[in-house]
Amino acid sequence: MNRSQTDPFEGLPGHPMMWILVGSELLVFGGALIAFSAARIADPSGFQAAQDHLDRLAGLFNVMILVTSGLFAALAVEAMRRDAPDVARRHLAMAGLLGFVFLAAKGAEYARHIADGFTIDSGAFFTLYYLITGFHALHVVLGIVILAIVGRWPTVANIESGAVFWHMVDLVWLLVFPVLYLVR
Amino acid sequence: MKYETQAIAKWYWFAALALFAVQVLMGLIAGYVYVQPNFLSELLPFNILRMLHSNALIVWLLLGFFGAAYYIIPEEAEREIHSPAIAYFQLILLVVGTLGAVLTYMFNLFDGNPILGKQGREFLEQPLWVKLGIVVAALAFLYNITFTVLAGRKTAITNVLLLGLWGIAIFFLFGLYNPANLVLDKIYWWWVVHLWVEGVWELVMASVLAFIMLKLTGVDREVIEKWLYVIVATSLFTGVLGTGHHYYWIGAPGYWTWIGSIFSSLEVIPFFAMVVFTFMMVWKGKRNHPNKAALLWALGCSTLAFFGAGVWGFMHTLHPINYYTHGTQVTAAHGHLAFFGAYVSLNLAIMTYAFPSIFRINPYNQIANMVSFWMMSSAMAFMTFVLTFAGAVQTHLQRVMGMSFMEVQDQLALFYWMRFGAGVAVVVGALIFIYATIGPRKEATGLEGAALSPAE
Amino acid sequence: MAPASSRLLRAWAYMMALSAAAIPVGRADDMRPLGAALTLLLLAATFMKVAILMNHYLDLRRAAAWNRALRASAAVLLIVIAALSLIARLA
Repeated sequence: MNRSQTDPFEGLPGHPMMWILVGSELLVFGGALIAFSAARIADPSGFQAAQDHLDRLAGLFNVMILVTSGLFAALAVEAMRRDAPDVARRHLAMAGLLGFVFLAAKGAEYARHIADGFTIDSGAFFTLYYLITGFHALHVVLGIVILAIVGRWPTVANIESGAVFWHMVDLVWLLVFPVLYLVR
Repeated sequence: MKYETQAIAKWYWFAALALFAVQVLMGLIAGYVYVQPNFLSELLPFNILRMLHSNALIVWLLLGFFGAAYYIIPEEAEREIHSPAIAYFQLILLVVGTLGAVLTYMFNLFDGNPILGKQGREFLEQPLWVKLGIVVAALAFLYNITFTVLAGRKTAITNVLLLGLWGIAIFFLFGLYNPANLVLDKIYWWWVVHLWVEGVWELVMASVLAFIMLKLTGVDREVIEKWLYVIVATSLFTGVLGTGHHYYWIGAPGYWTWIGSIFSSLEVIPFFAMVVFTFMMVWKGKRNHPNKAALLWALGCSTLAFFGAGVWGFMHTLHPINYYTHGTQVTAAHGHLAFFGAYVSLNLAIMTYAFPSIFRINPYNQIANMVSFWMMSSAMAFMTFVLTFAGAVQTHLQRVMGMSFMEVQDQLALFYWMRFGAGVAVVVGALIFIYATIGPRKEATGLEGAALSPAE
Repeated sequence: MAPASSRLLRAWAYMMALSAAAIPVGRADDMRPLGAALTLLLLAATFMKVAILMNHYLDLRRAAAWNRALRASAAVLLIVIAALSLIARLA
């Protein structure tokens, strides 16, 4: 079979399976955000009261952290395509470091919620908030691991695949932040 | 058949088909009890009929999978099965265990004995010695096929098949755990049942379908493998956390309602991918294979699995809907078409493909085989529609209007009669299938040599 | 600086600016309610960020069909979310 004529993954950076994963993740988070928005209809005032306990600026801070981290991941791909693996690794390290900053900020938010008595059982808003942001945070952790692995074996295909996963994590937070923190 | 040990499959499939006959017969009687509740109530009470109907199903499907593995693996690994003796020992162990479980259950043998008697569980009920025997059989099986594959050619089809079969054995182990807490009991019960049928069995299904497509359509292995990986990735991604859709109302924490709803609603994706895969391969295929009946079963398998497991599953998987429909005839409708489409059809497809090659003759009794396909498939589809209507009426009368269970059952009698009629057609179709595959063989004419030509 | 890198930096700057816009548009720094108009504006800004990320970070410039398909699904998702949010305001 002539691959270039029939390959549906033509033009996509990284390994095709990574794109299957990206597609699946977007469906899950998309479904979760729709579920969240639908659940709000049943209890708009309860959702409003719960959302006011979130730190909106902390969420926004994390948007900017991930957008900046994504820049470094994209620069790592560019460097690797120019055959500069050392530059690529430095960029990956920066991307991963900012991932830790994201997790620290998110962890501080969780600590405040729990100190205020809000857990995963504190109503539909907080159940979905913890599930969606917790599931996303797990992906940040996994993303840092993936960045470390592709940094250890830096080929163009590997770094492209790792960056695609990292950008997916970034993309999800861009969607999660306004819906969970701001829309009211 | 290129390797002698592929014939091991034959004995597994004979046992499987015998249990298939028992399974549909018990289903038919149980369906009759729905409309004539006192029928056989002393001799074979409904709970035993129901147990035999569903357990015979699980056991014969597993026997079918083992047979499929023994048929497919030599051809893919390009070598004989590591030890045929172990393979036959495994079959004997499984048959003895099955008979032991059925007899213990029917006559309540060794009552109270912790090893020989019943365990007193609602689900995963087998005497402990049977469970341990199954574990030994599984270990023997995994040893046998794993060493065959390790010593031979490794293909995506064998990799996925092995992953699925290892998964089946590993998740069965949770059946050995018998917690006193009923919530925990149910949670782990689903680790066996759900992670089988909506997890690792799908891997078996995908790899067997891939093997059949490879043989029947002649599409390049590279293309088929790419599809196989996509199907495997999506079925595990959606199916594992999709387990949550069984945790809605059993006493598990509330967040499972959301996890279950979101992930399980995506479980339709791998089934849809299998439909697209099988039809694309047939459409692109260059080969005109003489075994038309096997092709029919394979296409029917992916299509009916998509509707039965995918669409009918999605219908009541969202927790706000399941809150009303849980445990009604909607569940029965979904269960029947899902099992028939995904796993019964899969087994009948690989048997239809492989029996002629095991007997070393051209495809035979094809008309009868295809008649059995259309009879069973249309009757199962009719049964599914009837039970879906029954479920909708039941949901409304019982869960919305608040009528009592038995009052509602009276209202459903007409649907149950129609279901019984569909059941008769399924049993006749199943008997025709068994006759067509292992009864007297009449070869198709004009195809001499075609089926025996190298398939790849 | 390589042209590819400066293109990525520009994409980053746009996304940071669109994010900062959440303070006035999404009222990220106060408790006042968000009107329907601001909600729609906020989700539109989100869509622009997502489109930039797909185009430049995910490098979908090179796969036009995928770029269109993913952008369209993001648009559909945000439209559904907007519609559900507006319904919740009426409830």
